[in-house]
Amino acid sequence: MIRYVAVLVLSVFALGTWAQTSSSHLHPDTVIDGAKNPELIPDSTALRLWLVTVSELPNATAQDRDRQRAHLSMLQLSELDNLQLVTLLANFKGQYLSLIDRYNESAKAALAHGGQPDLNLFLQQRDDLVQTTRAAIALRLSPESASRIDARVQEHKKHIQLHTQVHTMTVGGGQ
Amino acid sequence: MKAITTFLLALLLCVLLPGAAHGQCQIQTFTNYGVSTSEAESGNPFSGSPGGSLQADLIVSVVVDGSATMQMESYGCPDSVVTQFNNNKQYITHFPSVLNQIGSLGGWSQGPSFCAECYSSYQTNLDSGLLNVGQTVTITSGAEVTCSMAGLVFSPPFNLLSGEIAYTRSVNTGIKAATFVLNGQLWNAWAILAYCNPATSPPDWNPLTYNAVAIYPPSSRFYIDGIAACVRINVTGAPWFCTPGVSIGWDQSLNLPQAACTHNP
Repeated sequence: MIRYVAVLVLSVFALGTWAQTSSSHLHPDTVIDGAKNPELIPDSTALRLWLVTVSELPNATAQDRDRQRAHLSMLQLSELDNLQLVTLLANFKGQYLSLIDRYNESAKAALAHGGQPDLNLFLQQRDDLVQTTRAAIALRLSPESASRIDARVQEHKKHIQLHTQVHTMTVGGGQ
Repeated sequence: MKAITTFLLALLLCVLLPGAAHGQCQIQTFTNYGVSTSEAESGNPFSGSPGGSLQADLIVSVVVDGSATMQMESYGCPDSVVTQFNNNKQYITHFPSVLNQIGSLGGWSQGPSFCAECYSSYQTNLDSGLLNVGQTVTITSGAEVTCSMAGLVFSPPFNLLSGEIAYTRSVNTGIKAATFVLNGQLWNAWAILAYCNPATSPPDWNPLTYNAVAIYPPSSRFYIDGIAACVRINVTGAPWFCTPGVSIGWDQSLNLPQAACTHNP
C-alpha cells in the first residue's frame, strides 16, 4: 500500500515538474524509400527483410503456412526446391529470433551496469546469418530457383523503407 | 512488477528534472528501423476450364525491424544527472506498433515491449478475405515505436496504397525467352503478350514470360490466364507494381477470345 501511494505521489510530482520544464521533439525522418530509389537499399537488407517476412518457425500454424505459401508461390519453384527453401527459412527464423534474444539479454545486462551493449557486434552477426542463408540457398536449391529468389529480393526493395529518426527531449527549461 | 517500473521511472524523472534545472539536458533517441510491406495473392481461382468469376485473397505483411539508442547529452548537463540517466536507462522500455489495414479490416497492432537499446523485429499479417479480380482496396501501412519515458520516438509517415487482385490473359508468342533446368527437368520460359479486349487494355499487370516444362509445345500452353497481387500509391494513373500469383495455360484449340482483363488506370 505504501509503495502504491509513493508511486502516485512521485508520479504526480514528476509529471507536474515535467510539464513545466520539459519539451519533446521528433526531428524530420531521414528515409531511403525503395519505391523511389531501390538502388539505395543494400542487398543484404533487402534479403533480410524478405527472409523475415516469408519465414516461419517449424511449429507454424496452418494459417502461417498458407500465408508463407502465398508469399512463395510467385517463385514457381519445384516441389523439391520449395521444400528445401521452407526448411532453410525455418532455420533462418529460429536463428534470427535466437540471435535477437541473446543480444537483448546482453543489452539488458549491460544497461543494468550503466554500460552500453555492443550493437555493432550484433549487427555483424545478424548480417552474417543473412549471408549464410543466402549461401545455403545457392548451395541447396537449383541455380534457376536461386536466381529467381535473387530477382524476387531485388523486386522486394521497392517495398522497403529505411528510416533513421532522432527524438530529442529537453529537460531543465532550455529549448 | 509494473508498479516497481513505474516507481523507478517516476524516481528517475524526479532526480533528473530538478538537477537538470542547473543546465540544459537533452535526452536523444536515435532510431534505426526498416519497414517492409509485402503483398501476395492467396488461392487458386482457376478451374479445369477457362472463364467464370475469379476471386482470391490479398495478403499484406508489414515488418518493422531495427533498434534505437538513447543518450543524455553531457554538454551543459551536470555529470550527476548524466550518471543518473545512464544508471536508470535499464528501466526504460520501448514497444513497436504496426499499422496494417486493408479497407476497414485490421488496424494498429502493438508488439511486445523491449529494453531501450534492444533489437526488435515485429510483423503483422492481414488477409483481405476473398476479393473479386479488379476490386480495388485501400491499404494503409506504417510503424511506430513508443518509449515509456520519451513518448513517440519513431513515427514516419504512413503509406497509403491501393491494392487489387489483377487478372490478365496473355498469348504465347512461341519465342523462347530462356531455357533452364529445374531439378533435372528442362523448362522453357516463353515470351507472352497480353491478350485483353480494347476496353481493358493495357492491363494493370503485364506478365512477360510463362514457364512450362519443355515437353509441352507452345500450342498446348497458348492462352495464359494469370492473377497477381498489385499495389500502387493511392493516386489515379500511378503505375501498378504486381507480384505474380498463380497462372494456367490453355490449349490453342480452345480459340479463346480477348479477355476482360483488370484495367484500373
